[in-house]
Amino acid sequence: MTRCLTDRALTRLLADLGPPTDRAHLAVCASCTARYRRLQSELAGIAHVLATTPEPRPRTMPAPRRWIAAAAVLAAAVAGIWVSIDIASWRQVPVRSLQDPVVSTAMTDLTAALFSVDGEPRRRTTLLVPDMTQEAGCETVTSMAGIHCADGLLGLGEGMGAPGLEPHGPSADRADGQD
Amino acid sequence: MDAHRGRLLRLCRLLLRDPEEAQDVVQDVFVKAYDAQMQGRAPGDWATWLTRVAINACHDRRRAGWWMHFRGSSARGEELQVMAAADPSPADRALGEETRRLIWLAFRRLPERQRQVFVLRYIEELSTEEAAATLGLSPGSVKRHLFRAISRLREGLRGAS
Repeated sequence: MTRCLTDRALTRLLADLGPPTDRAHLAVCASCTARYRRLQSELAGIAHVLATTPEPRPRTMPAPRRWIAAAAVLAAAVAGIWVSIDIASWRQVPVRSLQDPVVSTAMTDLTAALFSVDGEPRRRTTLLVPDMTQEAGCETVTSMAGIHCADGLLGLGEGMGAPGLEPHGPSADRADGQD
Repeated sequence: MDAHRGRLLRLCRLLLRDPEEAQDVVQDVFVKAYDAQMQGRAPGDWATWLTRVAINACHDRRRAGWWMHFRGSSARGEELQVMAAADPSPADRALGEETRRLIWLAFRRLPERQRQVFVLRYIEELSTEEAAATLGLSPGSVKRHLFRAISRLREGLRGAS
């Protein structure tokens, strides 16, 4: 006699799928037969419930709350689109660069005020921010009021008279040559 | 035709959620039967033909009814459910409300094909061959779907208990 059938094997037999050996075992095993009948009655009970009783009301969200949730999702989507449009338009606003003449002038004035002597703004100063759009040296630097070129720290080498910070570069070389 | 009405209504109620929608489908099925009769296309076996048309109509309704499912059951459908639920039989009362709820829950979780096969085999009490002919499947396929449906139903009830 073979071993008793598992629940899965009994279910297969119930669906007419089991092998003949399992069906042969079922025919001779009282224990498996009892379990098989119990399984049959269980399924009959399920079928009876489904056929004769109404489906219980699903425990779902009431309709008004469902609409509120849908409205909230819609509002969030609209807000997201609005913010993204706002950010996109904000990015398109032109930002004044350091190469802008207005900014450049302001920076020059600020530098002159910071490094003034005896309360008077220095007339000889160097533009801190060169015009990066041009490749040439100091000659092309946008300046005002006779600004000289210097490679020192913050352009102060020549202006402050610091030792060892002699001006050099194209304009300095030309000046030497002219002397 | 009237003899089939109750059977089809029960079948459609099991395959759909909304009793009102089930009534609509049964109405449509009888309209199609009338058309077939008038056009001389009457089938030899009305029971199988009606069952097949009803199953296909329920399938179409379920496929196209996502908006209806979102809205939930209609007010009238819920009223019908409440009215029916108010008068359970003694056997149903003995079974327990929680058990009935679990059975329905497990049944609703079945895939559509397994639900169809289970209904035809255990509620409509068709043979494997009749169910296969109704659903347009092979008998072997019906057996496999039935095996999976039974396994899932039992798992659902065991897991909840």
